[in-house]
Amino acid sequence: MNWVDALTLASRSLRRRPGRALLTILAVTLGTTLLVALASVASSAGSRIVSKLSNGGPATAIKVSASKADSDQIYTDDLRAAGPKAISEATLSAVRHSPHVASVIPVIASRILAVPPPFGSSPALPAGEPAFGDTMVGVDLSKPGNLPITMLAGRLPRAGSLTEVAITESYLDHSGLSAANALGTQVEIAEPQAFQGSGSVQYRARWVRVEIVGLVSQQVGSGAFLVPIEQARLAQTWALAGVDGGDVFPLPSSPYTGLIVLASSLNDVHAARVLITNLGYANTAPEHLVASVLRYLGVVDIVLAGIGAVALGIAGLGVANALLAAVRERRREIGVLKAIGARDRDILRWFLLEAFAVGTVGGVLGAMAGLLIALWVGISVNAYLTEQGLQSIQFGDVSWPLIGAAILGTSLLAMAAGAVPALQAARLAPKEAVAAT
Amino acid sequence: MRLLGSGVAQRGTVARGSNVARLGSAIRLHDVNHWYRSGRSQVQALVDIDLEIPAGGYVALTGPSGAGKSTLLSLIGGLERPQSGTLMVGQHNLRDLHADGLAEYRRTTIGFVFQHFGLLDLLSARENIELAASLACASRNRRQQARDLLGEVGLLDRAEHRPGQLSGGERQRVAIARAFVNDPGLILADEPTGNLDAVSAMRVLDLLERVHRERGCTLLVVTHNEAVAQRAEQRFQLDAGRLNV
Repeated sequence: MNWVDALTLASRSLRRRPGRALLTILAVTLGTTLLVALASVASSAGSRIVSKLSNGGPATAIKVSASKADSDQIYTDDLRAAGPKAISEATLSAVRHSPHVASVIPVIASRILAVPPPFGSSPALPAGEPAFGDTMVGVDLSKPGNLPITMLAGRLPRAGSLTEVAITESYLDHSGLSAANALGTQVEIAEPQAFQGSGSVQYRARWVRVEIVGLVSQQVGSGAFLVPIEQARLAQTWALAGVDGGDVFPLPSSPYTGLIVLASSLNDVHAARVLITNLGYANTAPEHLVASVLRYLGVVDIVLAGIGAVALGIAGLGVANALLAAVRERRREIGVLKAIGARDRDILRWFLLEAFAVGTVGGVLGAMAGLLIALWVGISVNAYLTEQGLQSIQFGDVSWPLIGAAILGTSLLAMAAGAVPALQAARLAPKEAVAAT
Repeated sequence: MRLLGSGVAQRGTVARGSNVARLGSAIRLHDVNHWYRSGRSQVQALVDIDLEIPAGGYVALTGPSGAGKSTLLSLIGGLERPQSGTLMVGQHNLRDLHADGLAEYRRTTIGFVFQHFGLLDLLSARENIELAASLACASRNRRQQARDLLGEVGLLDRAEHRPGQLSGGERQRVAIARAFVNDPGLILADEPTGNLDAVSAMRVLDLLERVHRERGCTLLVVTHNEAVAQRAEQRFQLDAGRLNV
């Protein structure tokens, strides 16, 4: 008996008992649905939780400060700074070349004075340092996915733009702007420079007008403005062209205010932090927190996988039961087939293909239903979060490997479940089978 | 009619339609015993059977229920092996064949016709024959072969009907067409008219005998029916597992 004959027999056999076939497929579908839905939700929730722990950025991000590390730095997730330490190009190079590091993103922060509209009526620049009360944080925005930034509204400034900025909620608090009308507003920014005036150090500013294009929550650095690094570099260059303002306004001593270091993987975070600490820099990363949460998520995954496995196991029993009933019903047919020359493996192929068909159809339907349920859960959760005034999270990403694994796994499980009945059928003695006529 | 060993022709050398017997299908049983276990007891189904059926012969096997007719048919058909004695069909010593060997033997040498037809309800008449052809060989003209055989039994117009849509007589004719799909040397018919009315039974028997004559194969019919048995060239009677010639 060739494969086509066996497939014909399998499909016709299923159609002969449509009710039983449908119920068996339904059992497999339900099991697969549960497994796919749980896996999708758990995967999305897990990645979002880890993302939250790492402040919207990748969980492998390490923030490095232009500060010396103290001796306990490596044992804690927090920043343990002990005095300034310049971050040079050599530092960047040393970190970049580590096998545990995927990329290094430099950060430059500059102190500024920001004046919201209406322009022209703004007060005269106050004398002295306190006027420059805000900070712009400049970073390479060409790969925002690598940064601990969460968009709350609008968009990020275009990489390299000198006229666009994003603001944080802290700026909204003290500027009098609201989230609704901040986007599109123009702000004048004064970048300070100290110079030697007549007898004392005085300050002047380089004024630029920029547009607010986004509202963000960011952990790149402490500051009210997030800007492309080119803007911050210009401000730094302008400040360095002046004189040292002493304690009030010291010249920047480090080319970079900090670094965002992306470890190659979660497993590399610790090694990357050891390297950075050994270079002498204070740093922070949710390393221990993420590891701890991942352990808990691992337990949740095991529990959910267990629930899904039980459901699939029940589905497998359904397949086995249906096939056992089919073997009992088809003793005569099996006997006839053997009498006209079918070998054991021909009968085995017939029943295994039948199980495979049930598993595949159930797997495909279950995978689709599981994804729909995961999507529905995501919509429901987001509706609840929005109702509670919380930020929504994204669910329902289609994981093709998960779908493929679910369909393949279900098909193989159905075949495994059908193996015993199929072997029973294959080993049926032809005489006994014919006697059943 | 030639007796066992009385010729030298090989199976397959006889042209189709020839009335010459094919030696490959001659049957010889010597001192065959067979028994079943039923719980803790043992039931002797066949006792010291010595039997020779000539190649190309038409033989009826009769006897009351439980006499061992179906058991003997199963042994000769290779559905099981005798527990003692010698059972030769053509060149095949059936006691030496294991499962796959017996399947091969059934596939190439035997054509079965069952009382209950043994057609698969899942398949049409043509597909039933094609499936048997698929088991028998890898012929690419299975469809045409099936249609030819259906034409031979007068059921070409019913080729796409499923067994449930055919009368008893028609089903048995399809079963006969299927039995001949591998051009067997030996046809084993177990009560082929048992489920048919008198008219259909005679038509089926006529068909079996015609094909038997045309193809020169050996025909062994197990029957209760005296009228059927009388049409055979030779008859054997089994009683309580013992053979009365």
